[in-house]
Amino acid sequence: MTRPSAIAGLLVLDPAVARHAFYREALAGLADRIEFLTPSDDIAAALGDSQQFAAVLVQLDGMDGSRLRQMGDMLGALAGTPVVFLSADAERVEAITDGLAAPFDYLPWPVPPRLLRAKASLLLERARLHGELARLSGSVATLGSDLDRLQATAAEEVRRADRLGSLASEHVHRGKNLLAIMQSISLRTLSEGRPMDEARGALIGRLRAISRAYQMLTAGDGSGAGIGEIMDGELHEVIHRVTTSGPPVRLRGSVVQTFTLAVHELATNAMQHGALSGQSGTVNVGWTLFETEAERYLEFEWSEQGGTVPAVTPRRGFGLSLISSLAGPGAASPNISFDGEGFSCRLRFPQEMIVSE
Amino acid sequence: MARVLVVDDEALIAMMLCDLLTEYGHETVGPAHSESQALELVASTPIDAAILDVTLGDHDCFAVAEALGERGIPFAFATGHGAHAMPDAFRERMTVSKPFDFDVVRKLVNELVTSQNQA
Repeated sequence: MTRPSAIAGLLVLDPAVARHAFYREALAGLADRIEFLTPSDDIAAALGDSQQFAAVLVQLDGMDGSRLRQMGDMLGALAGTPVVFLSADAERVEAITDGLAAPFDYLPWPVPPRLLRAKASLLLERARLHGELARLSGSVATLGSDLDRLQATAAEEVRRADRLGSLASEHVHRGKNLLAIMQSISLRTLSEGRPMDEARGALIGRLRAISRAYQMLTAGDGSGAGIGEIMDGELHEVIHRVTTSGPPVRLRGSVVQTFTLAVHELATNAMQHGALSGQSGTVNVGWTLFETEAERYLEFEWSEQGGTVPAVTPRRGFGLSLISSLAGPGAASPNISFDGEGFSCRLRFPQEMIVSE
Repeated sequence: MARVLVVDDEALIAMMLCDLLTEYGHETVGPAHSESQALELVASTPIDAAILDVTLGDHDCFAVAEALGERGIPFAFATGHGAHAMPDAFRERMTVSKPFDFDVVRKLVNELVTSQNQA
């Protein structure tokens, strides 16, 4: 697309070699290069490369009819390079310019040298300006596509910054929520009226359970965690005495921490007072997904066998408060019993606490 | 003694607010863990004041706030976000940030209950 920056050449076609000296003198120092050809030279080849010339000077005097027609055909191939015809006979010019595509001009022969020089000088300047224009258009096109690229990059950066900004604010929100949850657990644990060393152990265990739940939530997309995964984390110490069974179900993110802590409490109670406090007791943990046309809910059951049954029904502790709170207001209370076999509880999770696996 | 509705999708945080309200001598309504639970309680239960968590799962609490506003029930927001995240309609409302400063919660509840009595 870019042409040579300096199109400073002139091509002179004159059948009479004797006249070449006249042009050389008239045009001296004007062009970087002046090429002279006679009709017997390979004019077609020279014209084919005409882009390197600012103009072609054609002397018609001294060409016979067939040469003129030949010359007319060859000049017809010129597209943009201007032609200056020289002739004593304007009619010869008239004849040859019929069907010429290139711009042309005419100087009557003989021509005063200064006139020829002035004409050539104008055409050289025209070529220089054309070259400059082409170069600038190229730069403008490049600048345009650079600008498009920059705009696309800037838009992408803005989107990325927005995404990072909302991610950061989401993390701050989660962090503050987590602190409030720890605050809640600490408040409860310290309000239970237990001796300090016991309260300390309970607090550490509860915070560790919350931290496991938080880990599960942040490892995924935060939308929830699987019940099986929660059981694995909370029951691994006693897993040889616990059987778990149930389909893969995910609990919603806002429920995961409470449920994880509830299971931690159930397991801790079983180890301290229930079926797992003795040598032979066991625990069955099962969950079932019920789907009817009207509703979809999850039933979770924890039942202990073969443990020591407390003489007095223990007071409602943290674990049961958590279990009850999961059922929500107005929902059926969790089914809790201490029968001859040991402690058991059954809990129903409403649909909005479950996310599809 | 006032009946105060607690709305928070984190049961543990709701539990703490209920504990505090009980300690301050009030009766708690709920807690509701979702927008639908909260709207149901607002429609069906006598309530003197409410504390709303701004984010409720996939929802926010602003529909609940509007329902309370229509009934002239005073309420405040509990949030882990800054006040700048609030829509214009609620920017002037009282806000308590998480984790809680218990003294701030106590004053906030007092103000809510007092404004309810004046209404």
